[in-house]
Amino acid sequence: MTDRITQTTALEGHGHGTLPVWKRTPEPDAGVDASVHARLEFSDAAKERLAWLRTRYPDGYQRALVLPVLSMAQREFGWVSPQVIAFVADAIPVPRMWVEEVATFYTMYNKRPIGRHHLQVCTNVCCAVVGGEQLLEYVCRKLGVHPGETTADGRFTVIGAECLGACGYAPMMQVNDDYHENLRSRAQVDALLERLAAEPDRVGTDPHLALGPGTGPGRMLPRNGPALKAGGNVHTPEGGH
Amino acid sequence: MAYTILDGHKTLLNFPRGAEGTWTLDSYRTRGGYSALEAVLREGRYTPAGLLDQVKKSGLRGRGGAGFPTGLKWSFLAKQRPAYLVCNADESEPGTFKDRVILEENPHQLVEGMILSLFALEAEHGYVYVRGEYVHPQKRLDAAIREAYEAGYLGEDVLGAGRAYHITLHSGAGAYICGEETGLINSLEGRKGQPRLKPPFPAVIGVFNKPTIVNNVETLASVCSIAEFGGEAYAQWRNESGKSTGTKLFSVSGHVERPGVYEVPMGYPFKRLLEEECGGMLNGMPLKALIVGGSSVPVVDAETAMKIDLDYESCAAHGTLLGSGGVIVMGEGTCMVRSLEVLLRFYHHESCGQCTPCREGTGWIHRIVRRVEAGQGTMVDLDELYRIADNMEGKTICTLADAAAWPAKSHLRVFRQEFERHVHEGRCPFGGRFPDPFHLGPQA
Repeated sequence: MTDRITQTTALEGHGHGTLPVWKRTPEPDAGVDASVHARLEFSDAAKERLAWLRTRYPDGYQRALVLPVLSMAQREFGWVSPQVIAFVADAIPVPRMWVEEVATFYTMYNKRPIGRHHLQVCTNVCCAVVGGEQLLEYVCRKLGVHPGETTADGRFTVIGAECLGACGYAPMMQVNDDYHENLRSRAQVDALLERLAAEPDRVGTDPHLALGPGTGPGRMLPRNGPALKAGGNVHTPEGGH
Repeated sequence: MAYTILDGHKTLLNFPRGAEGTWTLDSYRTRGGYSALEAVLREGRYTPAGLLDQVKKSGLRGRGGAGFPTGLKWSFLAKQRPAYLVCNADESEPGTFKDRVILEENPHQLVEGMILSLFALEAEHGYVYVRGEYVHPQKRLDAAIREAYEAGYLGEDVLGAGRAYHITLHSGAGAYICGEETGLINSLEGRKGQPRLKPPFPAVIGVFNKPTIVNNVETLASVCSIAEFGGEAYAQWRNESGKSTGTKLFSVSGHVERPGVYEVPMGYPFKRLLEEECGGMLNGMPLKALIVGGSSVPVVDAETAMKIDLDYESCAAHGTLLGSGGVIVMGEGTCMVRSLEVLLRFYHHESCGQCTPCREGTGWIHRIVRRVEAGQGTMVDLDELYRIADNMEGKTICTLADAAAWPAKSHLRVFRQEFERHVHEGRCPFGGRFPDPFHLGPQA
């Protein structure tokens, strides 16, 4: 990986005579072992969902599949490595850059492996005023990690998250797909962490929504078939607005 | 009280709190669900233009935050077909969690509201863009859409009326900016969620290069009541003084005894919402500050807060905005510099990076406030903060920069003394910590 040269903002010290500082920052995926993604293939369920997804957007706009298919790939393969990005781009198919820019723009795509249980503690203002920051500190201290780190046994990744839309049920944390709300005592937090530690599998990934909306055993939505009309305009996938 | 709507009448949360199974089709039907749709499609209660007219008469304004009149927005839709309806369920404004309740507890009302709206707009296909973190709400809505297909409310020939309606649930992946309607459109098309320059407005060129209407979840769910009772009846649901109509969901968080989502008629006094619905302040602490419409609207002090009636006009008269109805209540003991710092961290994090005033400005003002909070700020910093915030406003493609500037300017204006105290004392008078009412932090 080549180093990337970036300019830190000259106003880091807010203007008072600070000069621009040029420094080297490593590539975001430096040091990440993606060998587990050497050979990738979607499960049958994912292939079926991909076929269904193609029927839900107008012809010629397969770019709309980037988010749903990348989300599905993350659920299938655990995290989004450069290999996963290439795989998704070929599966749709769209240029790799289109997938890469989505993978790096949106925060829910994990660009490096995460622990079995992904604990996201909300520390935005509504949670913070009733103890959200203290909750994050407590969880980190209990697991012996700093925010953003994964425990040595790979069981927990803890991060402080921005608003998750549970402001009235604060303090809260998201564990994988599940919201755990109203965590209003240390005893509750202790019990939750103990339960998770004893869990051999990733919890909170609902089998009915394992791959995203519209899937699961016997849950496939009716297909539209070709009824969706693309309209009269001729356009290329790059055709913007 | 002078409400022309009966107190306790609910149009969106029309079921008991905590009731089981309210999200199923059977339960929704027992509450009168889909009767408006059947009356429109089977009995011809309205023509598309007639329903649009009812929405105009109802005075319904967009419930996502901007408060643009819904009927007027719809009337801008270009005639070219196909056209699309997009439901904005990207709810990610701190303090706002009202749409989640509809998605989780009453998803069929959104589905019915969308079908009625598709009818009025003479469009066929609707997309619901739900934020990616809302896995559980997505599951409920997904099941509701499926039930609606099975019951014939969606499909190629809905209720034998010869019209096709489809709804597709599309999940986001974690970006506040996708709540902006053109950012959402870009995201739905599979791009980065960076807002588009306007014009052209989405009503002319929106998603997939076609005319598009983007409405909030609560707005579309409210269309059911308008189709059921008529626009004029809907417009009566308000208090005497208010011009705003209908009922509104308020999601209350922060230092109150019973936080949660409450549906009240427009113009409901904040004092009454706080004291009756929410059971007063948490542990009886005095009120210090109120953010009434989600984190981006100007903050007000306790005295002003108690005078506010919850409608567009009263909020504006008291120097703030109704916004999305995300009511954040802060009691004494909350450091307003710290709370602003947290908010600005959020806006800095969520700036999409397109426009320089926002990309750089959100970072500058965040760092200034962080420095003041740490006791290292100067009086010049306070003026700089105001000046930069002022310069960000109205200079960008979308209103994210404004959404960061408004709280910054209002915090500084309303709680100037507290900022100055940080500077003069060289430390945070509150120890740099938020209140810890549930004792999760280190014990003293």
